Amino acid sequence: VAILLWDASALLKRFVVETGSATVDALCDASATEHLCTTLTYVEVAAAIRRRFNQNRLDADQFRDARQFLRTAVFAAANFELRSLTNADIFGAIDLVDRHNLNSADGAILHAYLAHALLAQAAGNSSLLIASHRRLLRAALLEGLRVLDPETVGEADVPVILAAL
Amino acid sequence: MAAKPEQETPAVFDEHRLEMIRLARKINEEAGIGGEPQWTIEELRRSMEASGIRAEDNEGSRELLRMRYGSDYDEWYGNASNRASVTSSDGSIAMPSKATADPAILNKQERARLLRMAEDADAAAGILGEPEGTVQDLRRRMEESGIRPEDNIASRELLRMRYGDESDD
Repeated sequence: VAILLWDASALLKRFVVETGSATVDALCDASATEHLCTTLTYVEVAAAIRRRFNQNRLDADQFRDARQFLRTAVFAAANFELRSLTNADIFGAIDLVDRHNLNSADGAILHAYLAHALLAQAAGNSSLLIASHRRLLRAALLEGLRVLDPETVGEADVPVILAAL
Repeated sequence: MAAKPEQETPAVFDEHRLEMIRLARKINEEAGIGGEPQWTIEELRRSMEASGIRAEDNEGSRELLRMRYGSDYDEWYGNASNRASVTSSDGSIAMPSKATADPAILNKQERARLLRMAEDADAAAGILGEPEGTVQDLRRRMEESGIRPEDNIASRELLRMRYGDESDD
C-alpha cells in the first residue's frame, strides 16, 4: 500500500481549479493507496479557501462547495487518516527549520510525515509526499522522503509512479 | 531521514532488530520452542489444514488486527469495500497500512470530535449540509467564472501566507 502524505499546497488543488488538479484527482482515486494529512494541513486548506473567498476570487457557492468537498474528502473517506502534530513534531521542527529554511508549521508537518513514513516503512509500506512547494519538496527529498509535485506530473503518469513505489 | 531521533536511524534500527531477534530466541528457548523447525512452512500449513483450519477464514490475521483495533476493526472489516481493499486474489489479508501503529493518528472518537468541530465551524460560516455534484463540476464552474488554472492563485497565496513575499525557490 502506498501512503500519500498531503501538503496543503497540493491538497488544495482538489477543491480549487489549478495546474495539477487532474493529477491530484488521479492520486485521490488511485487504488491501493491510503492518504494522510495533519490536522493543521486540514485547517490550512480551509483557510486558503476562505482567503480566496474574502478576496472575491471565489463566489459564495464556490466557497461553500469547496469547503464541503474538503470536509467530505477527508472525513468521509475510509482511507484518509488525520494525524495530530505532537510536541515531538513541533520541537523536532527546530532542526528542520535550521537546515532547510522552513517555517515552523512546515517543519512540524515535515517532522510528522517523516515519523509516519518511518513507521510505514517498518510495516512494509511506501510513503510519498504530495506538495507544490519547492522548498518543502527539496527539504523532504533531502530527508529521505519520496516526493511528487502535481504541477509537474501528468495524471496519466500517476499509476506508473505509484506502482514504482 | 535526519529528522528522526537518533534511536530511529537505520543503523540503530538494525541494531535494535538484532537485539529483538536475540531476545525472541531467548524467549522461545524458555518456552521450550528453541532450535530450528523440523518442517517446511508448506508442511506446517498443510498440517494445519488437515487439522481443520480453513485458510479462507483468515483467523490468524483477523485476530491480530482485532487485537490492534478492537471493535473498530470488526466494524471496518464488516464493510465490503474495506474488506476487498485488503484481500488479495489468493484470499489472504494484507495488513491495512493504518497498522503502521503511528500513535499520532486520530482514533475514531477524536476524529468524530474534530468532524463535529469542522461541521460547527462550517455551519457558523453558512456552510451547511453535504456537497452536491462532483469536485470536478465545482472546478469547471470556477474556470467558467474566469479563474485560470495556470495562475495557481490559491496555492501561491497559501505559500505567501506561510512565507510572506519570500520566493519559493
